[in-house]
Amino acid sequence: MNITIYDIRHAYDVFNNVIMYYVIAISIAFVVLSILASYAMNKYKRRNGFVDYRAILSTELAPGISIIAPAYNEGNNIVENVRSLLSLHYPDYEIIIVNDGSKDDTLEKLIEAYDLYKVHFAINYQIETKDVRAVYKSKNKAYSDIVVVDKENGGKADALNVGLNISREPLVACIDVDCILAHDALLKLVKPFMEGDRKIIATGGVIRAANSCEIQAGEIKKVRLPTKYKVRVQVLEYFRAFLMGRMAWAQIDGLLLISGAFGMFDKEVAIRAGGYDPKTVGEDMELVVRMRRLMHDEKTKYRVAFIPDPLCWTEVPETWKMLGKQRNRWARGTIETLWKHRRLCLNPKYGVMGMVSIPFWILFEWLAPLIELTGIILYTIMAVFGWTNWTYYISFFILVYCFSVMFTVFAIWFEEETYQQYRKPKYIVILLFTTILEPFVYHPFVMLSSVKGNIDWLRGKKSWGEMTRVGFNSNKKKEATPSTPTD
Amino acid sequence: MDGLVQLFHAFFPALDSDVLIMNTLLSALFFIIAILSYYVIMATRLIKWLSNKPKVIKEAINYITSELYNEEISKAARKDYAKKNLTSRFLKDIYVYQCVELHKSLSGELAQDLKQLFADLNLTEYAMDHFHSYDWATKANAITVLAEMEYKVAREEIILFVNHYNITLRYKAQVAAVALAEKEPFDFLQYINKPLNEWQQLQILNAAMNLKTEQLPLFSNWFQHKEPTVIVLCIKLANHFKQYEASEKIIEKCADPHYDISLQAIIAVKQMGIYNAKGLLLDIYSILYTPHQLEVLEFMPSIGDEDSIDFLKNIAHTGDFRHRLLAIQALLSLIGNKEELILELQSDDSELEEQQLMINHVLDNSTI
Repeated sequence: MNITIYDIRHAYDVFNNVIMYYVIAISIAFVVLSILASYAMNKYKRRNGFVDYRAILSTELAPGISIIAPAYNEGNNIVENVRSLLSLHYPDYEIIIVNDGSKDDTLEKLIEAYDLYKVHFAINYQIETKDVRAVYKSKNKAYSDIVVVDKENGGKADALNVGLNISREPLVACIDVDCILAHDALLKLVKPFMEGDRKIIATGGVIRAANSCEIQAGEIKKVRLPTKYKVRVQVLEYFRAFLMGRMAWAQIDGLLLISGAFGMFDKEVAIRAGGYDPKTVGEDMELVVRMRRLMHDEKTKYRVAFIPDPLCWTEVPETWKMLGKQRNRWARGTIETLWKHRRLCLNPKYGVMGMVSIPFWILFEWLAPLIELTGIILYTIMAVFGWTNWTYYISFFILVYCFSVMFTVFAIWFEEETYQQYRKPKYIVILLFTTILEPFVYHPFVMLSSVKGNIDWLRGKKSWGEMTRVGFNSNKKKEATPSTPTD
Repeated sequence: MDGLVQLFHAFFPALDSDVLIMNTLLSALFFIIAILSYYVIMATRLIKWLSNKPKVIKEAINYITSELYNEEISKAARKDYAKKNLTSRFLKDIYVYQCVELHKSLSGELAQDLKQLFADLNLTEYAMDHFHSYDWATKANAITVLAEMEYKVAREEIILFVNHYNITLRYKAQVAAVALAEKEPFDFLQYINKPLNEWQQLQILNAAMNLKTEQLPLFSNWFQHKEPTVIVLCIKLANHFKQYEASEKIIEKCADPHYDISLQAIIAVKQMGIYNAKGLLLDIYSILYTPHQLEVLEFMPSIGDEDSIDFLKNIAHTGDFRHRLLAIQALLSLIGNKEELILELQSDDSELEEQQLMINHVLDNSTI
């Protein structure tokens, strides 16, 4: 078979068209999502005007909550983190800290600070996990709601499964132990479970970047915009992902992801679905998809809810290296989940999840960086051969660029209209400049990290990769967390 | 469109392909939308800044607190103040919000004075205007304000919304109906024909907690209601207010075929300590759902006796994990000779280790 120059040119033209239609499709999808998010946000604000969450505190009708917080080498901050959890406003909750075989003094510090002692504890192994070495409770009645579990190292998912086995309450809030929760986070997150016309199986709230914020005694005292460019872009990403993306998906009941940093689940459904999968690095998304799948298989009417309140503050990566590892892992986690549940794709039995969410994730989350990189490579080759229509190429680039800037400005607008956490006027100006610069440095880096995640997935890589955190209010570098990273 | 293309050609004669024109026009559109959106963000901020909301809030708080502690109350002066200062919806909303928030933390004479101040500032009329709005959210918020400020006259109108199609408006009306009642705070229950979700039930209970004891009806009066969630609510209320007069009817509800009604009845029986429910609970135990059975087992340490021991031993050997643990807990609390029981429970070698662990678990008070 002879391949002529004409054939190559023809293939190039076809690819050009594919790219164009893909960009049109993704743009329309994002516009639709922003319209849906706007509607959902407006509805939420109207429904929750004058809501008095304090009513929950004064009655015994609120469902009990078990907070499950895996900890791996968290010795530097664990005592403060648990103290912060103890100050949450809720009438009936227990805190389960799962020490996932830490190599540092996490357990010893907990024992000393909270006056813990080993207790006999019959564990209902509804989900298979690594061995539990011991369970500790406090002699001090003030800490009677703390349960500390010491177990063999098995990763974050395994630690969360131990928490699920041990928890005594019907709802479980799975969190990263070093996240800072708003005092009313549980009150707000439990409300959808109580008011659902259908069974609510999971709820999530908005996660924010705590970098550069002023933090005292485990509480955000002053919200500041991060000083580093790459951290600021992540602030914008979180606006887009949470205020626009997840609000929109929740509105059409197609939400597939409740952040691992903070989410609340119906324990009974989570256990029946099999708990977290320790074999994936995207255990948060995978569990939600599996729970939803179970509900569909059982023909139970259900919903995954999302609320736009900023409930949880987390430290996002501050270095390119850490950011790259994180995005690599996110890409692998997404692919693992989508691949594992590929039979759901375009399967009408699974409703919006099967017909809309999964195809969207495959097309615009999994494949987007691959298509983008392929396009760049091909355009470069064509440029070398002198076949590139530069006027067309530049006009196309400007089009995509303008759309991305417009979309991000929408996201900033959403933030302004809802909670306006970044109050100083200069922050808005800085965010605009960050928006303008995002596509030039940050975006290519994230795209390449995701592509690397695809390659690593093909190679069968399963590890989380070491995550180093700067730590809140500290310049001291913290020990890596290879098994149970907290972002 | 043709005109636009011609105009485009006039400015960019070099660009002649349709795709190029489309790209450029769309880019310009997105760019303009982005700029306009950003302008709106900045303009909104500017308006907020010019409105000087923190200063107005501070003034409102100062005025309200000074009036509360002012011994010489002059209605005319207050009306005059409202006329001069509460000139816009923005200002009135701030005063309404501050009054409502302050009222939540006040009681007795001060709360009455604040209510009077609210009326003197014409804010009651303002809230009533909002209540008569066509927008459900405005109406719902107005109901909350009227309920908090105890504007009892509005109850008659508010009660008409207890079955409204909008769930938020519906539950605000239900809560207000309880809060604003002079005599029969729960008379609206007879009209309820839509399910009350857990959130509504919690809010109604919370409103009921502020009532005087003599205002509380016997909640078993609604145990035959056609809407099951009303019965569930009434069982919860009877339980919360420890209405032992309703004991017999609550016991009857333990055998109700409706999942939530029977579960709430068993919980109420347990929490109220209605010991004469024991016979029925043991009789129906085998046909109960799992959560109901677990509630019964949790109640066994209180109601169990010699006759229950065989029943519990059977569960301790044959039930699933949670049933066994609760049965062992009940047995250990009922039998004086614990060593003997331990030996007896351990007779089944196949489950020896797990039984031992469960017994230790139960014996360890901290984990019960």
